[in-house]
Amino acid sequence: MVKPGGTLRIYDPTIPFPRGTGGLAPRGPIQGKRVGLLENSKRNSDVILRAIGDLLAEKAGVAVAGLWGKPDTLPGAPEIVEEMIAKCDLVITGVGD
Amino acid sequence: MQRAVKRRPDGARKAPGARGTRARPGGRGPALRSRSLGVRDALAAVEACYRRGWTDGLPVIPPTEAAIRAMLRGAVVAPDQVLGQIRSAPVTAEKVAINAVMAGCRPDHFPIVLAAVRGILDSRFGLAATGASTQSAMTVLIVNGPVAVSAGLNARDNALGPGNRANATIGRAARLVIQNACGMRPGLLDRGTLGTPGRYTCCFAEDEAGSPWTALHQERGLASGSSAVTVFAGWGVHQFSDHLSRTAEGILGTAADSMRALGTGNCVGQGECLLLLSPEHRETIARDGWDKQAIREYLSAHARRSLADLKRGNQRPGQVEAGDEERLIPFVHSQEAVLVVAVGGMGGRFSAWIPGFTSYSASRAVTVPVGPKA
Repeated sequence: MVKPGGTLRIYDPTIPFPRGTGGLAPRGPIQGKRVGLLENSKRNSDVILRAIGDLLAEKAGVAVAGLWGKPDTLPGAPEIVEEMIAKCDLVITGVGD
Repeated sequence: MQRAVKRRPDGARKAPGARGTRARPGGRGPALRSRSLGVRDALAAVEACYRRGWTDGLPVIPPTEAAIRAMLRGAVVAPDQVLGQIRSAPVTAEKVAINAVMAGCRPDHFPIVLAAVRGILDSRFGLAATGASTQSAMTVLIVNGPVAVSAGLNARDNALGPGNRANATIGRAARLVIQNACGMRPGLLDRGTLGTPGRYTCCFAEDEAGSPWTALHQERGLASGSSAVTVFAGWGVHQFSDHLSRTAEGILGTAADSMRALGTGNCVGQGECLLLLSPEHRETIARDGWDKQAIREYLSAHARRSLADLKRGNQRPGQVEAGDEERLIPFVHSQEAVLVVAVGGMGGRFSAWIPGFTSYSASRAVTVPVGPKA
């Protein structure tokens, strides 16, 4: 927005975050859904995610579709993302340390 | 629809509510596309930048249109030239110029800033990790070639310290781009546990005239006589003293001992490291016939520590097992992961090394030529 007034104009050094590029998936009951686990290779991230998967299977009746991994600071490889899309209804990710 | 055009206080014309996409009168090139705001005077501009979180905590130069255009002319670059992407959004020369003005750069510094930003946005540098991580890495800029001299960059006494405009403002411009254009603001995307003073600015030249060795950018594939910026994500500066050694191995032995300390970035992740050698150390090392490659070979072989030591020091999990005493863990990824730079002044046999960001896969140094082809 350009504000009126003033004798000196200065320019915005920031780049706004793009909006509207993502959105929430439809929410609904998760019983019977396939849950994927995505760990980021940090220590113990697989441990906590497997525990969460076990709890969800026990208490919410989901099916754990598997555990996938990615480098700690980088996005998951496209083939991993595609595989998870094919095999999972929802994905849980998290970090370790 | 035709919009009303009114004269602005600075004499330029602007359609109310527009974002500056109209051609400029007077042949000044395409209009700036960034949002702008009006303020009373320069001091009010500084306060406005503070209020919006656009500074690094120090006052900034107000980024006026005249100053931004002068900056762009300094590199003969159009405002809409795209240098790279951040979060799928283009980072334009205009955004970089705004930040360079705020940092206090002169227009002739701007080609260096542009090259640095290209390096920072290169996927190999890994800004998403280095700019955001709790590790608090600083972005080190090493400038090589004739542009370092023409820009007035310091490579000698206090090269890593205060006192020189080019060093201070070019490094600061890169930091402000990371913070403002790339969104790595402290407390938001920048989650540094401690932060580091090097995040205000860290830029210096290699002392090519005073070096017995091949310049950094030439080692990394660029031609002699060309200019370049190398960007390196590192932890703090580890200075070391060696006033007694009179051999290459003696000095580098001290360096290697410092480099195999527990808890450093290289202990954690075996990435790159940056060795900064001062003139008196360089003279001794070169007199023994060692070049940069020999230095790299020595350090990659000696900056190691046993797995047993790392376990006892709680740098690796688990109990010490058979074979751990003999298993040496290298603290750098490879010989090529040791960057050697000639820098610093006379009068003290001090040098320094800077641990790299912990993961070689997440970040490595990137060298970018300065100039029209950058």
